[in-house]
Amino acid sequence: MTEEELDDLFDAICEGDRDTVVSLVETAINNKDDVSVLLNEAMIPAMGEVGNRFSENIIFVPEMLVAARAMQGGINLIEPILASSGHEPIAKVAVGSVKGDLHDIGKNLVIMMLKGAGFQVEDLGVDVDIPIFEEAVNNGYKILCLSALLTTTKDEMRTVINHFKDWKNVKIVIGGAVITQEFADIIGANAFGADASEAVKAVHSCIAA
Amino acid sequence: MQTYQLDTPALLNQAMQRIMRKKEIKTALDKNAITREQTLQCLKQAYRCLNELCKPVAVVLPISANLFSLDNHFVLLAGETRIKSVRMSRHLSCNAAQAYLYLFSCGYDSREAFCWLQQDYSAYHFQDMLSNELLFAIGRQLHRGIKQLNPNKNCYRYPIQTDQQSNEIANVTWDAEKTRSLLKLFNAYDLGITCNPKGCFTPLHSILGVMMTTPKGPALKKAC
Repeated sequence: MTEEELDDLFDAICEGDRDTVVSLVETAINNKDDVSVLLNEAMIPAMGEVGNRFSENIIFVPEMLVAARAMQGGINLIEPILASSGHEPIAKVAVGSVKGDLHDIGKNLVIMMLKGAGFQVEDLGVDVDIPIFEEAVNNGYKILCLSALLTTTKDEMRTVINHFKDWKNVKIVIGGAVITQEFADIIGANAFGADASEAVKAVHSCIAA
Repeated sequence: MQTYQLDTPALLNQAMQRIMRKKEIKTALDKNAITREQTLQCLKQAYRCLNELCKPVAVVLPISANLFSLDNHFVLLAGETRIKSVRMSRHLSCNAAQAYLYLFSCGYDSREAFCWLQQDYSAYHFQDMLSNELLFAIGRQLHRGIKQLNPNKNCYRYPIQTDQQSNEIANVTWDAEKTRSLLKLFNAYDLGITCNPKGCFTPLHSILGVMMTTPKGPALKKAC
């Protein structure tokens, strides 16, 4: 893929142009291009740009959603190729809404942005109890992202953090409508994401630590 | 008890019109042809999903309400649930005040929607936004219905708040247990709405609330 085509792919993701993304990626695959170049030089940076624009209030959630959808259109095509070539993700992250909380919108936004940033993401769903988080950790998902929307469920995050505090190399990121940095500090979370874009940065900070 | 007949297509269209006017959606629609087309695609997908799955329900239940502690402004609803509300106890002290419980829902399971949308997270998010608007549309119809039944009265709504002391970790103001207790009063109507111990409803897009009507009039206004 030429520099110009990589730029086109970048722009298509930023604009949420799913059809163009799919078409460009299909062409690259047919041309036997290195799909990891597509991913690392156009697709992941494009979603990073989308995240930054969202954080700076240049775009709102709907535009982030269509961008993520366009990105996913491309990912669906290259994922099997990456898997068969032994491509390693940046890290494996498991995401779930804590026990008792059935809300999933914030969690899903984080999943979309993490996938867009090149992480391997396991969606644990809603109402996730400790054994499910444990199973994810045992399967190599050492970064756990916990989500809570309600004041009645946020305390569950502390329960999960306390459970894993003596586990080696497990990092916990928290976020949700009712969560603040202060709360994250009090309960001992490794990082806090104020929104989906910040959650990606929070997960990166866990890897760097 | 009053069960409302809901015109699902009309409510869904109303919700769709409202969502198109929301700032964040409007910004995406006004951005450029591609973003507009993709956003519309997602919205239409969400519309089709709700049109297929949702079965809105709404019930209003007249209930007894007694002010039992003027000093602490507690109200006892339907003889079992204690609500602390200065505003509500003030309204209850009016003559001829009538309390109601209302429960309404979009009537479908979010997990079902996620499957219907073939695990498309973006489309699912649009579905959630549209469902919220649908819920508000049902609420508005219900509120209008109560106003029509009580033409010369004011209508007030109240949060189901906790009267427990908040702690440093969770500044909880809303009471899940009281919500569950009040939800039991609808058991006989078999609406298929449940609430877990943390206060989360299934179906997710459901609302339970307390409302009171009080007579209009200068003397009563002063008293209330």
